Amino acid sequence: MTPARSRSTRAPVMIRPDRGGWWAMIMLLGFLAVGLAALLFSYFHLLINAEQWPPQGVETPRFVAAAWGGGAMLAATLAVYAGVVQGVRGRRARLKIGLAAGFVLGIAALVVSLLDLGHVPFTAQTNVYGSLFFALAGYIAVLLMAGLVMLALVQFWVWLGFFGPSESIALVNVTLYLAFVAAAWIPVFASLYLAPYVLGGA
Amino acid sequence: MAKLAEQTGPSPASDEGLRRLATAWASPRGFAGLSAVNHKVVGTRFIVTAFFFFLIGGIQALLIRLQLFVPENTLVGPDTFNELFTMHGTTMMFLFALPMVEGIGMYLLPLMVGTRDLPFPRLNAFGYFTYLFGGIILYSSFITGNVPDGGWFAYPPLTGPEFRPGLNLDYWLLGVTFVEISAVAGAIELVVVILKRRAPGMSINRMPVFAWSILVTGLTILISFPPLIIGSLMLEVERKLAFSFFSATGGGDPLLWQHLFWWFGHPDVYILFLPAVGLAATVVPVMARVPLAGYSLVVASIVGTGLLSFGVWIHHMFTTGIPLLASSFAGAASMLFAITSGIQVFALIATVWQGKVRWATPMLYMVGFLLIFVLGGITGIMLAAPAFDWQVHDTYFVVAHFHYVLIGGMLFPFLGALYFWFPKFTGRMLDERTGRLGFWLSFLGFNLTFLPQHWLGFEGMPRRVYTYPAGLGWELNNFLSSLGALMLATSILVIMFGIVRSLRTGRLVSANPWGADTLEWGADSPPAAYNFRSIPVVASLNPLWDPEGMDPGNHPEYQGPVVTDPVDANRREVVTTTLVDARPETIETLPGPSFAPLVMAIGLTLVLIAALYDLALVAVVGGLVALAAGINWMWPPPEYRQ
Repeated sequence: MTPARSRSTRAPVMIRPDRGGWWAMIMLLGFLAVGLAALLFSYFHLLINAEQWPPQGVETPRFVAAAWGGGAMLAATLAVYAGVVQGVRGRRARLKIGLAAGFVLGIAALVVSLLDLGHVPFTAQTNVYGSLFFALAGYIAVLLMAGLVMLALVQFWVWLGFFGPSESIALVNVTLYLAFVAAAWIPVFASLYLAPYVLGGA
Repeated sequence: MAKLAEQTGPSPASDEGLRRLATAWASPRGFAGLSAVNHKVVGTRFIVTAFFFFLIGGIQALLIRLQLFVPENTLVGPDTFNELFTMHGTTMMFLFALPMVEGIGMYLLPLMVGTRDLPFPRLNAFGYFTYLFGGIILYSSFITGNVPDGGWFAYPPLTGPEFRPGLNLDYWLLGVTFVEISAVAGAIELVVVILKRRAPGMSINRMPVFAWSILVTGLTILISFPPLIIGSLMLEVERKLAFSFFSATGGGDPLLWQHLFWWFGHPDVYILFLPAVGLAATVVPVMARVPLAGYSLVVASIVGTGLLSFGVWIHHMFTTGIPLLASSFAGAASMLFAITSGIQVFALIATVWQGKVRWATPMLYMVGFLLIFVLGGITGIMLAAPAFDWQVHDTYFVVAHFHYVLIGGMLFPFLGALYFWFPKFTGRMLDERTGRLGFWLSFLGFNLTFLPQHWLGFEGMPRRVYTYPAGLGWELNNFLSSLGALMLATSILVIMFGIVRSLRTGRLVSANPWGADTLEWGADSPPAAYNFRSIPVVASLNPLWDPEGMDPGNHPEYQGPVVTDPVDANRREVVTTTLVDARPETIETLPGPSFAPLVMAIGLTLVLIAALYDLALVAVVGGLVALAAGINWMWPPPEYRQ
């Protein structure tokens, strides 16, 4: 319709600042990032004021399973990204493969994370450490679940023939969202699983 | 009227084009009106609902003042008094002030920046319904006998499971969180419309001050609301599921809540104040008939206020035993507001100085705003000194201070704005006689209510006490204060009478009765559903004042035509422009009316009720209803098929 539209398709795939929807996703992610910051603030506020962290009698959780979960999340994001990059060039088969692979990896990440949460040696009710642990891990798990619902829907619509080179904002946004969840997992993992080692509690 | 409408750009090619434009943007009526998404329809709903909540919060305030009229009064008991001040604060902050700010922004901004609607019309409608349902849930606590009573900032441990069993605080935590979702949705709308939907040529140095103030407000909402939402959810799971974050017995810290709350709470004051500055900086130049003095400085001070607002929340916590160094920094940072607010106030004074002022009602309210807000600002600077704060913390001095800031800094400018934009909203002038009477009653009534409270604070009267014994020397000031509250309430009745009468018999007006400069005055009064016949092209900060302000010939960068005279009557097309220079970039099609936002809000309300009363099945049903509505909402239109 305008020369601008053809120019925007030459821009890097994940940057579509000509679209209102792209900005809405950026705002949403900023909002969620501040939410995470509030949780991390709470965690470190209580950590700094505690005599021992984790508090006495609480075993530090093992991080191997959680690391696998996070790795799967990252892989899911990369798969979706690769698929979308192909999709906006009109290669629909690759788009479908990327989205499907991302969805399977995302489900795997969620399952591993939830199983891991079931096996930590404390509960949310044990003490403030347990509560913070489940609040932070739960935040990421809820964000991931929402991302998987989005991914399932976008995928469904792609199979119905929607989205591609001329209308890609939904593809771009779901990729940005998943990338955010994977990135948000990093400080959470570092705080919950690694910080006790660094800070001398474990 | 027609002349100004023509000024907004090339006319549509034919009457047929105009008819199509009207068809494409029409809002459904009757029951189907619930599916309407137009920014003016939703914005009006926000404004009217917020005003309704304002009346309820006002009645609560009146009851508080009647109880304190005389010593040892027995009009209401201590428990009811707790409920009254809790719901008064909650209502005024969450159900009146912010929705009013956003409602005015939603109505005015698309017109002011020269576009046809907000960028996500359905999200806008959804925001309204979550606000309405959140408010209804909060107030249903009066029916179920669970009225929140922990104060508007709900400090634990008082509000924790140990000291406040029952559902009272759960109503507060969940209801307020629900309303905040609406606020965040509104903030995203308003920021994106300012960033991406400004008329071609409206580069950031030609953006109206009101747009700047709402841009900063919207971003501030996005950064300040998450901690309260997260904190509320944390307190809720502490109450319901025995988590521990804030209770010392589980190793938590009650002060954590105060940090999270005031991380939200202090910027929230500026979320209410900055739009008011934007309104004043829009109205005063028109009433003084000169451009705003120091536009760039005012904009810089607005941005500076937004940034500073995040550095001062500790000043609400001076008496909590926080380290003195932290208190000193917070105190010093708080005093910096004298600079940013000073710039805004002096710019308005300089504007008045240069101009030839029309003393109509909007201008009276803006002057009232300046006087009252400056007084509130001065007591704010006093309170920023920790040593002073220790003396008067939790006394009526603080109550007086924040009412000067909030009523002076928010309510007065908004009443002025109501008188100023009423002709745009309705096509009729608001009655001047009741307007002036209402102003003087509210101005005098306000000062009579809150000025004596400064002295009450100095005399040691704590806030939130339901009564006081005779003989402490508090009688006269309490008496005067309650008398003032009655006067203030009378002023609201007078204003309402004026509004109701003017809606029927007010003088009919043309598009621009005040001779104002911003784009909304180039649209009809009231504006057509599509706002402008053609998308305007802007070449000036005061487009309707400058002879060349709207001439496309002044735009070498303009790659027209982007005028949206729709070919297909079912399409709602808007122009997207670049971030800084507002060059036309692309054309987007907005979605039309839909019931999905309403159904989704109903589904989420069911989830909320289920969370309150532990009803798992209802939660599942509500979640599925919301999901189904979401899928319907987002279903791609046929043209997205590849």
